[in-house]
Amino acid sequence: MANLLLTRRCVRTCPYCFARDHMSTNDLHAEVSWEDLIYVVDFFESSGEKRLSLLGGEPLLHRHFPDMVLYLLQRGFQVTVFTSAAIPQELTDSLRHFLPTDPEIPLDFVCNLNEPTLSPKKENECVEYFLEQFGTKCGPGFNIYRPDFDLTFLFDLVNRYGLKRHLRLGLAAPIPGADNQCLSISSIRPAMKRLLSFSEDFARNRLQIGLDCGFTLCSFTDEELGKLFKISSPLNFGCGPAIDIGPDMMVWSCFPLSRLAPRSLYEFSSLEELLDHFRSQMNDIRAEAGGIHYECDECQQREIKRCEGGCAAHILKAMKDEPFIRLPEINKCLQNL
Amino acid sequence: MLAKPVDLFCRPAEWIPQLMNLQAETVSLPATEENLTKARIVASLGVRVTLDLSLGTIDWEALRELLVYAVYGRCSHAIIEPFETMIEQPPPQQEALNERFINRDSCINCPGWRACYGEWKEQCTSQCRDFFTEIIDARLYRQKQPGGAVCRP
Repeated sequence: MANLLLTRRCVRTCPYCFARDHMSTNDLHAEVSWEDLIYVVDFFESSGEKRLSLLGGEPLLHRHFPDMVLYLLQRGFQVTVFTSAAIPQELTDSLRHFLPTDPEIPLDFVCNLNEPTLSPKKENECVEYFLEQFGTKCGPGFNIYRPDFDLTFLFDLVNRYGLKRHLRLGLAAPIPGADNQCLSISSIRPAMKRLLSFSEDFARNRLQIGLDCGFTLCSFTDEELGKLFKISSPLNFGCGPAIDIGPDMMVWSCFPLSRLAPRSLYEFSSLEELLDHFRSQMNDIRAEAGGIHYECDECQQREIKRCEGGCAAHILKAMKDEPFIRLPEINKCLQNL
Repeated sequence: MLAKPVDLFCRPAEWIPQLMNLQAETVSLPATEENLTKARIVASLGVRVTLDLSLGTIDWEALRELLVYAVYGRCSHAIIEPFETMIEQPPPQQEALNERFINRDSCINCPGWRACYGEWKEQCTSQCRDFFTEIIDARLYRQKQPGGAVCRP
């Protein structure tokens, strides 16, 4: 499912934000217009895709957010909104007025929640107010960016506000050529150990984990994989093009790779053609380095495509300061970083 | 036609559900710049739109963009008038040709005349020329389509 950035404006300043580089080098106030939204919807519909994720920045800040969501629903789209939920309470009230909360309506929110102890009090209040209004339409999301994270607050929010019992768990990815807080390759293993320390809480609270891209199978022991199997939706150790479309209709593979030869949506005639382009870009990177570890090149799990070898942004970041010894396509990309 | 008026001046989050609940078949709008966006939304939802070009000043460039959507849009959508009528309009009558060539009409060199026929002479700008040239291109495009295909939901 592709993501459309409604706006680049955001209400938070997360230390791990892997969109920060993109936001700081592009027009912050650009917003998706109705004309472009209709083009995107037509593009997907004519490609046989009726799902669209709305992203930001904070997509809820777009001045036509509820209008655009209702339009998408009317066009028969399944809409997922990625939000911080940390919006002013008046805005939540206004959204509550317009947006349906009927469980059968194909509109869902993934609320990317930060640890309350590390967030401003006002922000936490806004998040809780949003969850109070839209809780049953929300699933929690969490980005791991340090090995000593704490997930206990999530179980509380899930139970208190009736959130969907599916946690979208992400690894904060590095931005090649820029700085953000993320898990270094060496700290992934301790972070996964930490994650499994919550396995009983996940089971007791019936909260399932869904691994986002960039996780590697070898970050877990066999015993941990067994535990993970019991508390996860089907395990995924992939890293593929997510497909983000900016407010200016530029398209890139995912935020951490947004500087890697972005293209205009208008250059493609179908979603399949667009995906082929970015899959091929990803293959160029993987041809140079199989994964985030040297061992990935020879890994049997990678050969049978059970694991893709971790986040491509980690690979590019490692290549960034090398002499230009790679394929010409890769060197060209690295020059842009 | 609409059974009762839908207030298209309020935000789309309010009028989209109203419009769909009423199962409206046609929406008429003055062709102001703001309404051109509404026309695109409404047509893309499968409701026919009729734009009134006689009210207010026309943003010809925005109108041309809407025409491009109406003719070349990737997905089926409802008809937007008066584009269809303009595209299907028959060739000019002899008197119109006389007006243009014998009386040396001011539109004599305009490439858009074969779609405008001098009807918009009073409001003539370079953008209106581009708009009517686009109508001519749309006419040729339609002729090449099997059965003169029109986008319809």
